[in-house]
Amino acid sequence: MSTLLRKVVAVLRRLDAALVAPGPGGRLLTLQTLLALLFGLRLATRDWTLIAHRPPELTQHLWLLGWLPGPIPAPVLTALQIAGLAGVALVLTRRAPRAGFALAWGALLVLAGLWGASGKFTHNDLLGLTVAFPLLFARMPDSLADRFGDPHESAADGRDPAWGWPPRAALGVLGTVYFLTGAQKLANGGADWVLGDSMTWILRQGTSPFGPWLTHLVADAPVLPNLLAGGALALELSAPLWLAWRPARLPFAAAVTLMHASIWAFLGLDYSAWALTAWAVALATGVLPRWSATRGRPGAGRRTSVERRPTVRGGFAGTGITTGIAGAGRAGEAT
Amino acid sequence: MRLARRVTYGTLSMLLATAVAQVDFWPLSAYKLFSGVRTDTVTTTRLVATLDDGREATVGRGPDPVLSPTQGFLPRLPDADPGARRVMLTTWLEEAGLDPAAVRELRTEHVRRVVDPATLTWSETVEDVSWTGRVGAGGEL
Repeated sequence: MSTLLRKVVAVLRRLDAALVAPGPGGRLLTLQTLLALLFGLRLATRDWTLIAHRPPELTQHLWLLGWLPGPIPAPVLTALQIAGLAGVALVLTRRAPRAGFALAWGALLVLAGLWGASGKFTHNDLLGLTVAFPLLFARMPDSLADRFGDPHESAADGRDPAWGWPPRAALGVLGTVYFLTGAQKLANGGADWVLGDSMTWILRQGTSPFGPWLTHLVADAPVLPNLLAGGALALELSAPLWLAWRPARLPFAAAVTLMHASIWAFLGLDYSAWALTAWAVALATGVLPRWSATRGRPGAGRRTSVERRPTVRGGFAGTGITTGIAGAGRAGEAT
Repeated sequence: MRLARRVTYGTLSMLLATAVAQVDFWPLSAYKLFSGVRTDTVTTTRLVATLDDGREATVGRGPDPVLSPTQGFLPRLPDADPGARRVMLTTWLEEAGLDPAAVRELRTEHVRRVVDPATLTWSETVEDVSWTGRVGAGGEL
């Protein structure tokens, strides 16, 4: 076996070991809660009954539920929306978080798929749904002590192999999707996508909500469109590297938010659900600056055992955000 | 941990395979977002209605966020069966705020659209007419 191959195998083994290493329940809980909130936002802020107006002759059937006869009546669409929102409520109240999450995920999957079956594939909800997919198989922590670690019990340190892999799988999916968006630009556009005039014409063919002055300001500036294209491509292709390093996850979420905000400002296209998905994963698995995790507490700036294993009182209303923050970044911890 | 590996590696493999195959099959996607190289020119198909009074109107996209993207079905219009074509045309005309009863003739055209870098307005050149249909007795609607 060549040296290179041995190194590749060693790296893959380390990644596999990191995937199945024990993890804190709070991190999984935080991710599930934030993704459920995203699903709730998407389900609540759209009039899904508009789908009922579209005749079957103008419905794309190339998707998972393409066999459904159409058009689907508006009351059925509304019932799906309500069921999805009820699922979100079940997650937030922790009544039946696993079933509720599956219900919200399934409702949004069907509604967003039907919405996008108008002949043009839409990606707005796809990232959140894809990142959330591994969590459908996750066993959630049963008790508060499980979620945050019992301060009186050192056994297992509030960690379990069953809670560790779902957030790491979500990280892998998030990084892979962003990488693929960049790889497709290279595969289909090549170096011209960055070095040529492609971005200039993308800008000129879009419609900025701020008016044509912004389009002219950016598209007519020398080199600036190329810098935007190069920056976007570099960010997308390097996504797995950003996400593999815990301290870089929140900066990655900030960077993709900037990219998606610029797409909205320059072209009028709303990819906020992508940015919110990145934030959900980053907040659940990343490291916040020390000052925000410890501000206002006695001994701020020094890591104590309480900070490493906070109780529910020190957490964020049951979402485990503080747990995820304070517990993050311990030496030797699998990411 | 068999479940963890199956779900994680299965999901990642599916994402990569879909991207390599370059297919979009909801909820799987090749993620070809803005991936082609753009120029000043776009080739597209448009629907033009000739009204009873002789005026012509391009049947553009309306405000409905679900019906508006269905204009992507325009290239399929010539090969659609008469019943389906009637439904498609009626939907687009009504969505565009045109009364089907006030339309005399319809046609689809392949057009070359060029954006002006100074004014950001589009100019259109008709390449060819791909389909024509008369409206009224024995016609399309």
